[in-house]
Amino acid sequence: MGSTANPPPASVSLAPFAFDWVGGDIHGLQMLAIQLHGYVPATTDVTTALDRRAGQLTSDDPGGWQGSAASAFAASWSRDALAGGALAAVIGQVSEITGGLAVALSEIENALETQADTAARHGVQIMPDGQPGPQPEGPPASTAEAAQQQWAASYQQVWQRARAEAGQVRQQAAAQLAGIYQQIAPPHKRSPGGISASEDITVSELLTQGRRGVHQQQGGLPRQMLGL
Amino acid sequence: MSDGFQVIMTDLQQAAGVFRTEAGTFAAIMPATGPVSVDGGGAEINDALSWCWRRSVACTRSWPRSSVATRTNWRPPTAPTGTPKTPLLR
Repeated sequence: MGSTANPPPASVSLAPFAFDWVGGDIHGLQMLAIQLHGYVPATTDVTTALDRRAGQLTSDDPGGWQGSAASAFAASWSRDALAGGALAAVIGQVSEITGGLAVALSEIENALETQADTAARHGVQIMPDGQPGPQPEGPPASTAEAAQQQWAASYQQVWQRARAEAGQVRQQAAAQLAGIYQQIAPPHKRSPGGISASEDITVSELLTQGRRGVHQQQGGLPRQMLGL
Repeated sequence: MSDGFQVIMTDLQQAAGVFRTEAGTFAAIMPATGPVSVDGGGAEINDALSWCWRRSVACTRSWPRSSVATRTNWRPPTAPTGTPKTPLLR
């Protein structure tokens, strides 16, 4: 991988958090991203090894496999090699999206917990799930109670916003993953108007459209990974 | 020698072995049991993760698809049958 490759998910720190208020297994998502990231070099290693062997087999050197069958094999392998590299790119994209989701959720969770801590110090009751506790009804009996009610109302908004933002980042990640899935899905499961039907993940599909809908893509193209 | 048969059989057999081995390695890279235990925090994200995982695994299991040498039933071409047992020329 070149210098433009994204950093591995393990090197991206999650914001600190102690509870599980926004939902989801944030550490589990990061572990999954790391796991997926590890599959990329393993995948390209196999492709590279086979590419080398296929090249030796069909070389122009004396004793190399030549003729129409050799040409057919070379063309067939060439497609496979690119498909393998493209699959590695897809796995890398899923890793990035999953890792990005973990980071985003950790930041929201961290912000919510920080706000909850501040609100609690001003007398706001925080429930085990992070929600603000029940508020007394009626006008405040004192200025101190009025201030507490203001803090509670403010935290209520923070809590709602955090939940909404967590839902939004999940939705974005799900949409990105769905976009990737559309590139590798079997033809009968692809949405209408999508890429052309084929039994295989094909080179042109994954190279030209595999990155559609995925932002912050900085990784190398499959061709670069394959050294082609 | 006819077109398509300019090949050293041992090389082809070795290459076929390499392809089978590497195809097995490729298929084993991603475990079939995916991120079902990882909760993204919602059904939509969980479904999307699951789809991507399962499809990626399926792709690794069927790759490389179009290389003849990786087919389990593939064997290098054998000598034509009916070869005279006694050489015609001594």
